[in-house]
Amino acid sequence: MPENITEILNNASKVKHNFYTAIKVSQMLDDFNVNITNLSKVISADYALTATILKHCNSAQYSFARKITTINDAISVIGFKILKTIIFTIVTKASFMEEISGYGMMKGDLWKNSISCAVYSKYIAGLINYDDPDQAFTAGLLKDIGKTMLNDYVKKHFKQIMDLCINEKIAFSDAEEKIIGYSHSQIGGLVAEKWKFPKILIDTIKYHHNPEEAENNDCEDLDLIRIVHISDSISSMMGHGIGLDSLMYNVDASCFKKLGLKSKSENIESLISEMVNLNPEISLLNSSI
Amino acid sequence: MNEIKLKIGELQITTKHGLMLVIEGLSSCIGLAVYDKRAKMAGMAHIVLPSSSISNEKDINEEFGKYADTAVPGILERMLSLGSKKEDLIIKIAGGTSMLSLENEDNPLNIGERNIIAVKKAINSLGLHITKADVGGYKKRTLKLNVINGAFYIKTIGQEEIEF
Repeated sequence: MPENITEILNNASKVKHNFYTAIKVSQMLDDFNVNITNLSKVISADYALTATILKHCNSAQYSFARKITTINDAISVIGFKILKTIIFTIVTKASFMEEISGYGMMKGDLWKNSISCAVYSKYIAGLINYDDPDQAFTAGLLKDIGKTMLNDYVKKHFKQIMDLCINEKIAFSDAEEKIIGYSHSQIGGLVAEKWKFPKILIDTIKYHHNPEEAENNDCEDLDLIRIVHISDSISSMMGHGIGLDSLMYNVDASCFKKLGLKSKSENIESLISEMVNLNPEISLLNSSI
Repeated sequence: MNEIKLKIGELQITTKHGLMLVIEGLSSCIGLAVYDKRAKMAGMAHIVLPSSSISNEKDINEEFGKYADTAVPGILERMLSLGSKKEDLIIKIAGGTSMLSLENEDNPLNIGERNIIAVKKAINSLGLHITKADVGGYKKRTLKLNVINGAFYIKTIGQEEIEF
């Protein structure tokens, strides 16, 4: 018996509180005539967020010659695009640090998995000269936002979902859809739509486990979905914060070729080797946010 | 008890009592744990990939824990050179999971399966054999080795920790 979608989406309101400023800033930045004073006001109204932005801007990651003391200062040295990424990273951490017990994720696991996927996505975006690596970072970061909302339902139906995965050899997200009525990707996509995220982020959240399905569904940016799909798969293969659903997903190897990446065993192993070398960067980012 | 948590690609050999060597979140990687029961010496490596031949890093010596063909001799040959006897070594491995659609080893993305094969091969080529293995499947594992008594533990996610 599928669950009620309105009830599931009600869980989103708890998470939205953290995302409120990020959504507002994102919408303001999508407007080309953005007023910097207004933007600073919206961010500065959130004291905790402002403090974390300033801490991050003054961290070893940037090593600016002078101390950054205001949001106006921060905008002038790092620019809008990076500021948006930082804000999404901060608010995502606040929501994703929680224990997601339905998926067997301990406190901090979902965050570890997401920040690794974000860094890996930005890296692959750079490799293929994708035009907005920071957007790839944000997409990689937010792909599992639906897990925070579907958590209680996965917990309730866990045995049925897992039995279906094992008996029919289907992906965990497909089993979620069959038992609950919706997968975490679909719920994440619906919430992102409700919160008026950019369409390419909505599509990535929705199709990150099924990039092939995206090809038949009017998605603007298939490459971004493929980047996040590969990064998510490799991040899980490296064991970053994975839960009970572990590796119970399919990986679409055709994404490599479609992105212009070589896909022989040695090419994939080289790519993984390079990605693993980014792990200290992930730790640094983690400690400065 | 102090735990030493090995990062991805890290390798440790120790005789320090009161330590537990730990690898958390083993997925496609392999945890190699070795114990010399006579010398009470323990070794562990968090192996990421089967072969160092793909490495383009200048100094392979700095990251030999990352690859099966360098990490296995990195632990076993080192322990033998420190005085361990082959017959005293207990060798256990865990990990090597694969994603759902990758069950045959020919798939270029099936790192888990290739890691298992490469680690076994590297161990056998030194004239040694694996005492116990808990590998494959889809679920992440945690591997532990107590330096003082050589007790091995494994925890598969969703299950209790057991002696291994």
